[in-house]
Amino acid sequence: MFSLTDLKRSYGRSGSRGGAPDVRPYLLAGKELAAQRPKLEAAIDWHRAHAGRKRAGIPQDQLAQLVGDYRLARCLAACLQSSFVFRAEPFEQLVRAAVGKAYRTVWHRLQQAHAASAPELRLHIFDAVNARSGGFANPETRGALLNEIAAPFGCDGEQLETLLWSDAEANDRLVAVADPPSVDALAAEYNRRALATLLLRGLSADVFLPSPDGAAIRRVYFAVKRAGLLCELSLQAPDQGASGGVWIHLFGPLEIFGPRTRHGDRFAQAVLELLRAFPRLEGSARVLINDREYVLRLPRGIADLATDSAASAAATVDVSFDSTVEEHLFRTLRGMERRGDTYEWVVEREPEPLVHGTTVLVPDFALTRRGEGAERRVFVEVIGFWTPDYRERKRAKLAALGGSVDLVLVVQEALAPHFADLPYPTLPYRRRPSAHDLVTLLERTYPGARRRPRRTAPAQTDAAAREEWEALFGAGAALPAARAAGKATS
Amino acid sequence: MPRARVWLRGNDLLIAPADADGGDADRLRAELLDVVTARELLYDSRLGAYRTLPASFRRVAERLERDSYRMDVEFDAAPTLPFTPRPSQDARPYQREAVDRWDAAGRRGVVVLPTGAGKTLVALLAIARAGVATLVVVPTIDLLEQWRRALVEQLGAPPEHVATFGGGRRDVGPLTVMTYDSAAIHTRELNRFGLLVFDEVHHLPAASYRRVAEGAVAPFRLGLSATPERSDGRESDLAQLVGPIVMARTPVELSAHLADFREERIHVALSEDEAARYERARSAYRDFVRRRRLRITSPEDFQRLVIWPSANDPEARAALLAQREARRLSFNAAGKLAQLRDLLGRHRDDRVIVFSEFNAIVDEVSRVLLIPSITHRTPPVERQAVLDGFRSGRFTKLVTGRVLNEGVDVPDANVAILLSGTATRREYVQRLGRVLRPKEEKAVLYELISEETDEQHVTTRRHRV
Repeated sequence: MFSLTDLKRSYGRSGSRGGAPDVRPYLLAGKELAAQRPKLEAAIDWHRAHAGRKRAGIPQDQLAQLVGDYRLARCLAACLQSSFVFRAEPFEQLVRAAVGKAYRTVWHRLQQAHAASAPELRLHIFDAVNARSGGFANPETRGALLNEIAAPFGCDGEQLETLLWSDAEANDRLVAVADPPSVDALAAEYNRRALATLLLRGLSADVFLPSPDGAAIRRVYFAVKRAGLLCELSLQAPDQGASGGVWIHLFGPLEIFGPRTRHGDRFAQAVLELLRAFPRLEGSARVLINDREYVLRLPRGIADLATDSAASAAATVDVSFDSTVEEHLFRTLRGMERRGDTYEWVVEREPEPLVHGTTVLVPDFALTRRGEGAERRVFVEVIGFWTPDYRERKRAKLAALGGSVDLVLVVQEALAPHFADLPYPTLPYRRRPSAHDLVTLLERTYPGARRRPRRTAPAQTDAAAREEWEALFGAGAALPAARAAGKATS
Repeated sequence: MPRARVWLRGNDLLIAPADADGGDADRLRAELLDVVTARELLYDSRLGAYRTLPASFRRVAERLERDSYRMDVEFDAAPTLPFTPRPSQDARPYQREAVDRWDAAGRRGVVVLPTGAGKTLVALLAIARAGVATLVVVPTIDLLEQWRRALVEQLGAPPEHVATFGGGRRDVGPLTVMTYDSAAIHTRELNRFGLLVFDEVHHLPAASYRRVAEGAVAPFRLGLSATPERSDGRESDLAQLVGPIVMARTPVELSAHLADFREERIHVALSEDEAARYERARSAYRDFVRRRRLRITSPEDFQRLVIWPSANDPEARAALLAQREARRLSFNAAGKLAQLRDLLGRHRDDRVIVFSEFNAIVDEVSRVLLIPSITHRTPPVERQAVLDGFRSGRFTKLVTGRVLNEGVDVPDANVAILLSGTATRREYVQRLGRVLRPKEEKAVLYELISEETDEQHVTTRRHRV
């Protein structure tokens, strides 16, 4: 990321009246990139030309002059740090360079005197100066004093002095640690960091995925979850289903302590990951700059500007659960499954999204039982976090699904009344849901063939739902159990 | 009797009704809204609990207790110390009074005492009185070790119970000393303590540091400062974050107890050649500002109007270089170094500390005169060795930048030399003076000022109270 001060940007207002103004980062693309290309080349060449030199001998202003802009120069220098870095030379190497042939003797004696690093050597010298010269060196006698201190090491005062402050920043050398990037790769890295610098201050984002398939929705949803964020999906045109496009509202978990942009790192990472993975994605983010809210537009294809090989190898995020309740439930179910205690139900995270009519819902788990009879797949939704607002939206979605799929709700006891009228079996819990109770509920609601040998009738989805489903997941995909098949409420 | 469950999750404090029948959430909400603002209260429906800031714990607990709630608190808000603290030093009357007043104010509040008046002992007495696990928050790394030593040596704390967190260490114990920076990052560590001591508490209201106070449940809080006022006026937030000012004493009121020192100002003239070069450089810069009709009143203005354009505007670049040259000349390093040498010669047998706020000057003094130095770039091990060495008398001269201005005790230094400065208040010089410890004669503070430059105006401004 760049420092906000270094990032060139402008502000404008293109949104609705009274809405937040836009922030527009300066990006290296199109005509601008064409115009700046020679300067980017010059910045790369400048670094290449100074490789091997000490920091003190490198005129830092020169880069800004070459690039013609202080802030851009600093940003480019930051990007080029993946190829060129300032490094301190090892002390032993410096001793060798300073004393030449006498190196072995001097190095050995320095080690013996516990002065084999610049800080140790300084303390040694200060001790000596304190003992011999009243705490400071007089310019008239300084040379002689240093010679006197240096003699036991087998070198002279001047050589000793070159070592004394050799760890100062000014003595670091610019080292080429990798091949320099191409101009296009440098521009892409600049663009990526410029966007990340603003997204780091993100509050939320709304992005639109035109006509996704089920797999795409699933990938988006779980990429967001893996980054530890939350998202809500909604359809652009309810009558067209997912093919009309899906809106993704991205935001961080609720906490009262800390700044509003506390999820900045994860947020920037998730948005950039999505933009990279889905080139057709477009939308905007709300970002907070100096306590003011701005809109950062994310037009389609913006990811192309910010994509290069190095960036796409960015660190992967851990798969995490968005609540400990969910995590506990999943792990317990897995454990029971391994012990054969789940009546053959197999638990699965990241199941496919449920799309019905206008509604898109990605449940937390799916439990599948492949018995002698037809496969039974039941989705599990753990409810449900956060604000009354969020709860109501969740409720509306579940109501809209209208019982078209087999879904079990695991609901915190205090919330249960809000979901009681929905056509789904419900497992209430106080602090943590019991995995055992969940399996019992499943068995009661969807009795297994082994225990109650009863062949389940084939799924009877209505034609529209079936069509939608097949369009999303292909004709061969597992069909959700029909609403008619043994639905129960508890 | 209604019941409430109170626990911590992440850095939030959670409160939920805990009666068998689910309890009356609305009543609980009403109670909470009496003691926390609506902005600081959020309902988490998944947990069936209200979220608020940990700092509200004491207010919430007192309120619910008052209204006959039975509370199941799932954490220990004030863990007892595993040893009995015994302050080894006798307190002066005003120090005892400060602790009494703090105690009477419910063990919350700020004590304002001048530098050198013994604020540390006030904190030690407060820790001894509260007898609970305590976090001391300090502004600089140097203060970590100083406080650790005070806790061990002056409070009788077993060393294994005293930890420092910051500057590369990450230990936590019943008594922990942490920098503001570390505390603001590692907020999860904050809830192990019943008492928070904020050294140099005027730092706390800063946007990035106030979370240290907000994110901790500690019911007891003590702030210490010589100068609680801030340029942004946010010192008024301290009442909420720490507590009210329970006692304030001025240097005049405590003059009998404070180190006495003599102040000597030495004017160092630029050579004729330097003065001419200085004048040329200054007028080159001024002409540019006048010609372009720029209004430069802050470092940000200077960056925006001079530094940034200098990359592609030759005139701006010339002005920038002229300004830098003028500044460099105005430090008058050569003249001051010669004067410094004379002073050090005069105080060969004294412990002398040399201050300059410019790291380049600190480095130069250290190199030319072979004196140990401390700046923010000094590696931690060397920094500790130099400070310890100066305390023990291993080194008798020390040159340092701003890092030592605040709160660090420099015992036994009886001479201070201030090379160049900025436009801060008169208090600044006095604070430096008061870290001195007189020997047979009065301690002395020399201030070396360049003549005929901007710097002189700065110093004049500083001397105006």
